Amino acid sequence: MKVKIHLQVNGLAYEVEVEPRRTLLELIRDDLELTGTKEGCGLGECGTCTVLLDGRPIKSCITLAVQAKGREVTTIEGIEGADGTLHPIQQAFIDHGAIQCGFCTPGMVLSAKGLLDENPRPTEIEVREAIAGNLCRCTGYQKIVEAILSVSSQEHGA
Amino acid sequence: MKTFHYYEPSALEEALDILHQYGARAKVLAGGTDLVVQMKQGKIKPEAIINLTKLQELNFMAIDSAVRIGPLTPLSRIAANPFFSGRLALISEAALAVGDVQIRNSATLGGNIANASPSADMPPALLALGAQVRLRKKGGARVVSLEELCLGPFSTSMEKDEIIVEISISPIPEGSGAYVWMPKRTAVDETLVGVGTWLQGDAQGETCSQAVLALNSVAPVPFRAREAEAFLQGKNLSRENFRIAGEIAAEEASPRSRADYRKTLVSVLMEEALERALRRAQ
Repeated sequence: MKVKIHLQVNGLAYEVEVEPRRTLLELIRDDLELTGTKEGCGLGECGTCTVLLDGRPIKSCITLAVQAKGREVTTIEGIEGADGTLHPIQQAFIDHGAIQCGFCTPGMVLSAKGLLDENPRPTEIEVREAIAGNLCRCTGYQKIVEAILSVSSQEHGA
Repeated sequence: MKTFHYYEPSALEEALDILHQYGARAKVLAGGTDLVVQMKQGKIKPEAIINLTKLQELNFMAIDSAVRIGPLTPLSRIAANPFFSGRLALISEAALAVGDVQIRNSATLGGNIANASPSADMPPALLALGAQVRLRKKGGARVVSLEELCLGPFSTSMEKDEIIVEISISPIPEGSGAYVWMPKRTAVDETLVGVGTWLQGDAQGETCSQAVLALNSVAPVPFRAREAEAFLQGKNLSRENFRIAGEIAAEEASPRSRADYRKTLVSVLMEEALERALRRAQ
């Protein structure tokens, strides 16, 4: 039996009917067709499914869609400017070569945003802690850390 | 994931009614970081899920001469609470040992206790502080010590229709503590050994008047190393005595896998946790 839920995704209000057993990731990718959020391990370990729930990073593959009821979800599609300008974190990832295959990138960027929104001037250790739940198998952590730190030293937009 | 009946009660009594009706056939959903994984893997197939999210009265931290925490409080909020620093830092240290940022934003204190993983990080810190757990069921309430609650791997003494409604440390004892842990080298950094210590010195701060030493991951349940506690009582607060206490605690541990390594870790981490607790007393 489906349940009707209201939620905000990237600033838009949605009313959707979901089966309670479906995950937030499935709702985002299959129903809303926002495929920037990736599925990796499916068990909450790799972090590529990371989205912001009320501004805080969570793993959407182990969150039921009904748990997002009445709340605000931000996916990678929701952080660029209205004119398509990349978010400063996205731009920094490009500028620092912090992207290799790109599969972990949406989750990395959102974990970084979760950190910088709460702590605009993190230390390197705080950056590493913040992305500890996001695995990169191209072994690119160093450049990712550098990219995030470079944003932290600039003016950081929303 | 198998289908289930879904409930989202707006009052505790309603949640208790539903749980009473289903008993063991229902699972209570808080953050879901353990439950949803187990359901996706098909390890459990509950007939009903009772999502407690609307019961925000169970999401609180009240701190005065006692600490009271609601079971729905996310571990990230516990980790960030400035009160859990200094002599009470073991509580935030244990919360920070769980998973990663995303997991801690979802995972709750009640879930960490009720899931009863032998490697759960909150129980050793809370055992060291003598925490009590308040349980409710339809038409009933009781308070048990956390120690009595932990029965076996993924098993508690909670009845099948009981819900945790409060975790308390009352009163906050004299002394200071630390939680020190070592992870497995896996994606999720599950705790291989965790040690929670609480140390009370005499007025001069030279001898130990009481030590409470709790361990996870080295026995079927989180437990107190009572022989090591007894050894420390009345002894000088010295590195050498902390080292001996660690060795005694290692002998009290009964790890199933990687036993030698885990026992060695118990002594090393115990010594470190006692040192850290002592520094916080000064």
